[in-house]
Amino acid sequence: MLFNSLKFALFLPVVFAVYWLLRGSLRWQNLFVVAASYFFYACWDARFLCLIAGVSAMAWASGLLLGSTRRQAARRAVLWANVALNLGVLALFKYHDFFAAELARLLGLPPERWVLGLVLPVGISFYTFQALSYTVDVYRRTVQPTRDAAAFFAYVSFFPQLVAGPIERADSLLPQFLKPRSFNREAAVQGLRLMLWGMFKKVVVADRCALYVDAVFADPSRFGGGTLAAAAVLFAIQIYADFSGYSDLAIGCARLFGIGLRRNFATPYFATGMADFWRRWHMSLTSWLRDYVYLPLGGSRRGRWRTVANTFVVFLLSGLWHGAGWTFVLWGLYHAVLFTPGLLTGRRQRREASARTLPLCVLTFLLATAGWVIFRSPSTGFALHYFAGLAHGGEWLATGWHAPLAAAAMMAVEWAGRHRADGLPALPRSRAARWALYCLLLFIILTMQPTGEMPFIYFQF
Amino acid sequence: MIHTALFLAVAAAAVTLLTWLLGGTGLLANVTYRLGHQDFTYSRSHEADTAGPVDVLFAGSSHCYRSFDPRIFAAEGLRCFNLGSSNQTPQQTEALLHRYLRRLEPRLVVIEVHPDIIEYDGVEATLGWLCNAPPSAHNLPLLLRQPNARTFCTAIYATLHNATSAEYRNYSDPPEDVHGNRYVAGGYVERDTERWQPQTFASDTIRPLPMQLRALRRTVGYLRRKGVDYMLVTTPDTRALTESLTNLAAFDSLMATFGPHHRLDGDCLDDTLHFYDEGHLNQEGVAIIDKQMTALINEHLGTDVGDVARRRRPGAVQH
Repeated sequence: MLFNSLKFALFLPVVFAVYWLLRGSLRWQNLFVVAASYFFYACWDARFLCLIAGVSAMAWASGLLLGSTRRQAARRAVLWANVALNLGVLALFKYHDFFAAELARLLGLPPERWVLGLVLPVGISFYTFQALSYTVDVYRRTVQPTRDAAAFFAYVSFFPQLVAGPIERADSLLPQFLKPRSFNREAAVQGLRLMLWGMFKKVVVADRCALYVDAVFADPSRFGGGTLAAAAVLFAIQIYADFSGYSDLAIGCARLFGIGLRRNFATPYFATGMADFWRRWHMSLTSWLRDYVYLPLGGSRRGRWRTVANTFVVFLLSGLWHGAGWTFVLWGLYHAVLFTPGLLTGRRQRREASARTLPLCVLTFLLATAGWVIFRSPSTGFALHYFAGLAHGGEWLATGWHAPLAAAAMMAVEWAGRHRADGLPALPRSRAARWALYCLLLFIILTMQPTGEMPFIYFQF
Repeated sequence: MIHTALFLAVAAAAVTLLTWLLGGTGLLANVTYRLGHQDFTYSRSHEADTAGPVDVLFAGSSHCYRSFDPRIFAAEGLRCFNLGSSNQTPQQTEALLHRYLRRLEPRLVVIEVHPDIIEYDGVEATLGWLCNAPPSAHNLPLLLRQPNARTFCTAIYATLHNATSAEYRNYSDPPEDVHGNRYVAGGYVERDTERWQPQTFASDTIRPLPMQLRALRRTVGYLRRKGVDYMLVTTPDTRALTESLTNLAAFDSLMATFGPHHRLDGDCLDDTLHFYDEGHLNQEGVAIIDKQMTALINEHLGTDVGDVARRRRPGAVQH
């Protein structure tokens, strides 16, 4: 069930109404969240419901065990058992086939005998990370284990962020399921506003760009450098509008239920350097990797070269988190290389985007765009040919005006709202003017979205 | 609550108004209004709105409106109307039968089912009808069953534009289009006799869309409830195309589950003499197939329908 589908438009009001009808009982409300979230997930693939339930149950039980045991060795055993289980699930479904096929090729064996061909469960990378962080936090004693199974299962499976994040932490999301929620009209209106903007980003900007990008990436050898450059830029816009649009929809949707989710993007294309870019892009994953990988490895406390090595490990894992493929590994390493000069020179301070820093913003955007070409390519050879094609002549495929105009409008709005917490510019005080804006957005969404349901890019991760 | 309801009403009105005002400018990607088409839907729908009772009503895709010639059936004493339109899938057939069954009062409905068409989502056909046929409440269930921004926006624009503009009221299809297609009263489209240049096709498998099968099931259920006799018919393709389909027998078996299904015999046809493309008959092919169709109609109704029709409405066979 996609956020941009008629099914979801029917699902959301029903769930919203029943949820607030149950506000008298926290337990029933949480149980209903779990049921609605499992139904939401079952619309994708009911077979993997047991996987979410299993991951949730193991993390919940691990938390209880960690909370009731004082012996450090036993606590460590519980932690590692849970880490192994979560990473094992991820390895089996997401990475087994890639590494098995590569190993078979290395050994000269037929790869088809080694691969399992398992279907990748939607959202597996998101909910396993969320469950894993809870166990680690309980082990570190930064989060109290909960006995409330309904609240915990709701924390892992909360449907707005179940399949593509933001990756939440137990210290911020779990307490919200442990205490009664009250309906806040202002928060709900803000949520709807964010959903409207997220929908615009997804179905107008991202999906319009996708039409052009898909046509060019299907056979880049047909096209000249101008077309390849245009497609690369539009893909950079597409992936941002698609993923941040999803995040806005998720955050806005959660607000309807009185739940606050963390911000996932902070206008990353107005970053003034690569370090700044990574402070603004997919913030929930970046901070997760910082807290659970980079800092335990020693972070920046063990010398300059160890810091560089830790950074490479984090970016390599970030690449692999997105998918099992050499292009993702290469994308991670590419960003690690771009990140390193800042580490070595110590010049990583954040500079606000302004007219003066615009050249830096453009440069950062172009560097990120080159990375997105690697990310979008089905193989490293494809990516190399794509880059080589940028210098060659060939057919020009007109972009049309819809995608560039929509992209420009999105960037203009985000520029205006770049200093605000929700990333949206201040709205007019007059209700009539606000309603006119909402109506205009609705009109644009309805009349400009491409036909057919187009899934969110990050669902595949 | 009041504010929410008021906002929804204002939003619906604003979206409708803006779509109407800007739909003709070409700025809106999802308004694809086109008046006039080689399937002559404008002429057919306007004629259907005033046509009297018929003996046989045909519905289906281009294979339907290019295969069943009312003039040939009229010579046999059968009054027919052809509601075919380009790429018409069972979803549109369902909507059209709901719209025209009461007016046309057919004794027999012939639903043309084609392997290609049952694989389509039917958006193109819906757009063709929305733009060319007079506005009707019967379009609403079709729009709801086919949730699609393009059909929805085009429906808003086409409904308001067709109801208010002189362009639509004063339009008439050309007697003959650039491809040599001519509209023939009764819903048929005739084309200059051309010969198909043989070609080969890669083998292919028919994959019917479940939503089209559901629409077909609803349609035959509706006809049964209304007590109208019906049959399903598949028109012949060239042998080259037919032989490329790997599961034609399974398709026939599937269609037979909806009621009496007949595949018109293509053995008496020659690929290069009787077709103008791989799937459409030329006028010589139509003459042969329509004889088969007349016999089928007679056989199906268990009597010489032509005689019955002549007795019931003497002289009423001309279109």
